[in-house]
Amino acid sequence: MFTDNPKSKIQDPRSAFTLVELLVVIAIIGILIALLLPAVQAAREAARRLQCANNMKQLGLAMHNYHAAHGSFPPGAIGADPVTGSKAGNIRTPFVVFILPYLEQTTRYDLYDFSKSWMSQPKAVGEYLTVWHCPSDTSRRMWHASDVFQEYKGNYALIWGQNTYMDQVKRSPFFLEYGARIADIRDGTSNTLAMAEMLQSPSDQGDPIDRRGRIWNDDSSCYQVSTKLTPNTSAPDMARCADRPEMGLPCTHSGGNVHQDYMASRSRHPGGVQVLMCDGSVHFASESIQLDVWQALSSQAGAEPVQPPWN
Amino acid sequence: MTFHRHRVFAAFATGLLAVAVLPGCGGSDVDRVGVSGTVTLDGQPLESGAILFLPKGEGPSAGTQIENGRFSIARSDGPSPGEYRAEIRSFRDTGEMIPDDDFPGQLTEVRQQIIPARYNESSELEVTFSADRGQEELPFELQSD
Repeated sequence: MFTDNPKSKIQDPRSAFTLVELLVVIAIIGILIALLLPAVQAAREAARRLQCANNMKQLGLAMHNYHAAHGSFPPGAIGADPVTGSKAGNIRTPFVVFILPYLEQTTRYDLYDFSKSWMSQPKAVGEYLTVWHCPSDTSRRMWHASDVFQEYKGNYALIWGQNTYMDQVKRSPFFLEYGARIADIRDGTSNTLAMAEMLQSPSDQGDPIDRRGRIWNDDSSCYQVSTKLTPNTSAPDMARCADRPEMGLPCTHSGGNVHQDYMASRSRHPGGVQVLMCDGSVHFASESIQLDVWQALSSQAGAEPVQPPWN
Repeated sequence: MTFHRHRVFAAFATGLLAVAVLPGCGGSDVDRVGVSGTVTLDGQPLESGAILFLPKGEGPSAGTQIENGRFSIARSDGPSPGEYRAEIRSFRDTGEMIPDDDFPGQLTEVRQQIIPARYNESSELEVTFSADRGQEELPFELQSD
């Protein structure tokens, strides 16, 4: 066969790629992938953020359904004295319990015994609640020495004033023994924050106790976000905590002090956090929001002449 | 023929590189300054603690940890030019043990704030950041009561 047509060897119509051409092609493909990858990651984060916003909407709806049934929003917590902060001997109930029936968690709600504090009924509390987890963050457990607890943290915090756990300065819709009536929200429900995102800090076996993200514990800096600090700030929270600035969780360990503790809203979304307003709408608050605007939005009847930046 | 193909290739590659380089990076929508400095309590460097900068007018809040009397905030996280109030807090173990609310049945050590209220809750520390100075260097000399 070869000898039949010797011409074909000399005048091959096909021409090969040179090494340089091949390298250029590979380089171009590399550049294209490098271009595409961040876009793909951004699209995935956008999808997660949407899911995260949807969860907040569910919580907003549940709060409004609670309001329809009880005439007010659920209390921020029951069991701590709103004047002194003392909890000694009281039956303590966190916010999350009150809202369970409106999140289709009736079974869990029925398990909960209101004649006991949350920490005395490990079977009823601490279960994973999908609606409280933002897919952009990592779900974490609070480890307990007894190991009878399966206490999951969460990503959605109540707006708790402008300063510390005990000192809101200007009342926000949630406080100890208090959940606002819509009539109390004189700044307008679309101008008043109800919830904001927080991050779940690691507190596994062997880790120091870090309260941030504990939705089943009514104590300070667990699920209460203060507008003392703007979102995603590099300024540390004040809490019983471990300082983890590399994870976006800076903190000063106060040992857990109701008169000193405050926690900033934080998220894994680039550029800011998502917030739930009292009218049930969800918005994105930039981390470069002016502090005075952020604080004005957290008060329910502050009469500040501010508009939310997203309006 | 081969020469021509090389030219096409070179043009194509240059074009793609340009596309790769063109998309710029978005910046922060507020003007910020970097700030660092020292904190002493009664002349001694403050071992640990937190410093906050809260705007009196417009601007975001800023802050960071104090370690061995020093603190530093990068410009990307810093305050805006303008008037700010500084708040400094530091906690210390007291040795007193109380029942642990987070770990029922166990004890925990009480921690105490050691900085007077005039440097935090009712702070008199005022700072003005100006836009033209790149990185501010601030000394804070605190006195205990």
